[in-house]
Amino acid sequence: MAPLLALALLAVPQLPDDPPRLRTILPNGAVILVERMPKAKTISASLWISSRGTEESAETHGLRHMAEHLMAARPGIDAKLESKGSILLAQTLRDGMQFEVRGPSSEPIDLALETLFAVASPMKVDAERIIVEAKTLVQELALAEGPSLFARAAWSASYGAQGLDPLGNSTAFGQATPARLGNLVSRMLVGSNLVVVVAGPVSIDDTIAKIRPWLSAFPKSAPAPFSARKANSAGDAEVEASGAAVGRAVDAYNDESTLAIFAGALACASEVSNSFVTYTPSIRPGLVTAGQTDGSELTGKLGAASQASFAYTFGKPLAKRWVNRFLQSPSGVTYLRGLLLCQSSDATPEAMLSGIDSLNYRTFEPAWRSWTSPDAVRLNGVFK
Amino acid sequence: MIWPMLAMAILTSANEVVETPRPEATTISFVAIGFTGPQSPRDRAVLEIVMRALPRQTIEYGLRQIDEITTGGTPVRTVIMPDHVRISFETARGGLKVGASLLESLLCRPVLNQEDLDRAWQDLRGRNLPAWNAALDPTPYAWGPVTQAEATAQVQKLFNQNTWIGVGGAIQLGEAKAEWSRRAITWTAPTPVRVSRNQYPAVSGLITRQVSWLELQGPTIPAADAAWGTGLLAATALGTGKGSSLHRIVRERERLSYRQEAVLWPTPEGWCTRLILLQRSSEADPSQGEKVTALLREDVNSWQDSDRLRALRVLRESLAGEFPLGALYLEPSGPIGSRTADETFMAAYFRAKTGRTWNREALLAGLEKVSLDELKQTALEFLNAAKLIRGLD
Repeated sequence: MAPLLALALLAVPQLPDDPPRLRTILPNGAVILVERMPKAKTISASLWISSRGTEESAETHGLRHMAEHLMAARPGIDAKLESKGSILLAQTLRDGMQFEVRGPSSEPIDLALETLFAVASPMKVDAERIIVEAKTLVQELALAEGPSLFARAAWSASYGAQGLDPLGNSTAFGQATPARLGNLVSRMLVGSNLVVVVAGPVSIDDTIAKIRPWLSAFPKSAPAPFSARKANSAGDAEVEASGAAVGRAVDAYNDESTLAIFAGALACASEVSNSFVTYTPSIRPGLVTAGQTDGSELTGKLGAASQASFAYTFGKPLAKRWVNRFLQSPSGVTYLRGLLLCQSSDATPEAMLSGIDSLNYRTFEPAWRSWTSPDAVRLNGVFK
Repeated sequence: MIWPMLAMAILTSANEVVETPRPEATTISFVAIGFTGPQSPRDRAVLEIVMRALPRQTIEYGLRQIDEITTGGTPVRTVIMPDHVRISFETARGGLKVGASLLESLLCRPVLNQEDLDRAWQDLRGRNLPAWNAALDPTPYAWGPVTQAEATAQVQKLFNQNTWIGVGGAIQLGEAKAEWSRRAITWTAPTPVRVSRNQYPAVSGLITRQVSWLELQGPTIPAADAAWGTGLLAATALGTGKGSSLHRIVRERERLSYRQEAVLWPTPEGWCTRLILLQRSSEADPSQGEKVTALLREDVNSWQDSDRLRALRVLRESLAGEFPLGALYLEPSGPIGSRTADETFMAAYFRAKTGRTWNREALLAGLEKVSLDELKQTALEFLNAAKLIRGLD
């Protein structure tokens, strides 16, 4: 029956008015989302693993990042993918871990899915392997650049132990053992922590059918709660970089004041060369960091009363453009939708867009001025 | 009869205009490319300052008006590479006339007010480049103030009747050439300017204490050399992607670096193949250069046809803009993409630099005929001729 059913699924044509995406929540809590993008020239398939139950703590700091490296380094994967013009990318963030396979739409989705299945399969790691991988991780840390250094310092100043950088540090890597990593990975790989997002010119039903059996096999468990995250009173901080930045603690990703603070920063940065704004949408309190890697013109403008009207007028369309830019490419879709879904199955980029649309000047202005409040962290680069 | 012909000689703009129509595009891309020769630290600093100040205002257009013209497209952007400088932007569909007007205004009549120039050099002199940018272009810069007169003379020297213009996207063939020709630009020869005799110290763009780099730099491939494509394929096999020799051997097996890539880098004479490894400074060791070269040579000798096919496929997807890595570096810190703006630029740049038409499919078709032995030979020739360069913090 199964082969006939599979054939039947393949034979069903995609009707023009079918919804562009379908989210399926499996009995074990795992989520599949497939978004059909018929004109896309690439396909992206991402496995997101929520950090629920495995968030960074003093005891586990950096272990998730190490686990990401080890899970992605399966023998033969890379050569096989690249011979088909595809690539496996991975990153560890505070709220989740992403493994993405990106490739041309001329290749079938099967290799991408096989790769994700392999990444999440059991792995045997010995102490020697950990020591070797730690060398690469320490190299990675050394290459961190200005914007990420400023963001890291802002998180630390604003959230203290609740804002530990998920990339870890060399001391933490030195404390990794096979047992600790194995324990961590087994807590990561439960149904309620897993999300697979696929985007591109794919058949929604066919793709879901390929993912469902595999994802359903992960154990069911009640979703672990995210730990509460509360910003402390901040202060200034020095950063081993050049330039200057300001970090502003914000509420959830779809909160009015969060969107206003973010939009205002984007508007300000659009006028200043070599500026940056970093923000990773979260259902929990988070952080927007804005600055420059040379000079301090931007930090002088953030929150200034004279800039409020400009920031509102230009910030709203810029913030919408920021969200929509992700939604225009398969890779952007699997990033932003996956990031939000791995935090809550109800979290969507559309909530950000409608929040931005509903911003008015009355609600925007106090959020804009909060860039100059004592709660904001002022970050000064020590390299002059 | 002579007078009309003479009038035409004076009035007609002499710029080469290369068109890249893409009927399905929703934007029109504009790019102006001025080619440069070798530059001193002071030359580079002046270029950076001038090109930062240039897009802020022209005689005809203020910042807001420039933003309005490029709404629906992409903002004005300036890029400085070792062999050229370019200004580019995009307008929405239908913006050919106003876009050409803006481009002419930027090239011929930028305001370059002293306040913008002063702010540019104050900001730039404290700049700490990302490590990868600094490794790619370790030229020191001699920062110091630039006068309006110096800045204007620099722009006139860069952009003139020899500038190549690229227009692409939502245009019909012939439209852009006609529009540019209609403008009848009279280029002004650079005004002689008394340049300050002050000696400004040359400083590196990299200040961080933590990062070093190691580089194997090959000889220049001349711009006119039609075999440059084989060099590009060999660079891809050596250093693009996780299946490349650099990633497998230098990073994963030897753990000597975190970021390592092969790059075909433009020079005033052509291109240069470079293998660059970024590493933590405390891991740096003078003996690593020879070790890396020996390891790569050993790996190249073991290449199978699967390595050749991998490199071909990665190069194809990279040139199509669908692969996040690539060896053909025509941006200050990465490979050129395949958006309309990139294709518009490549069409003009490649023709100007090599005299040949840029044709991605023809290039790839030719490279599919390169045998495994030829590929190995090209890679080994590079490794044998490469000089070792160390960049320390």
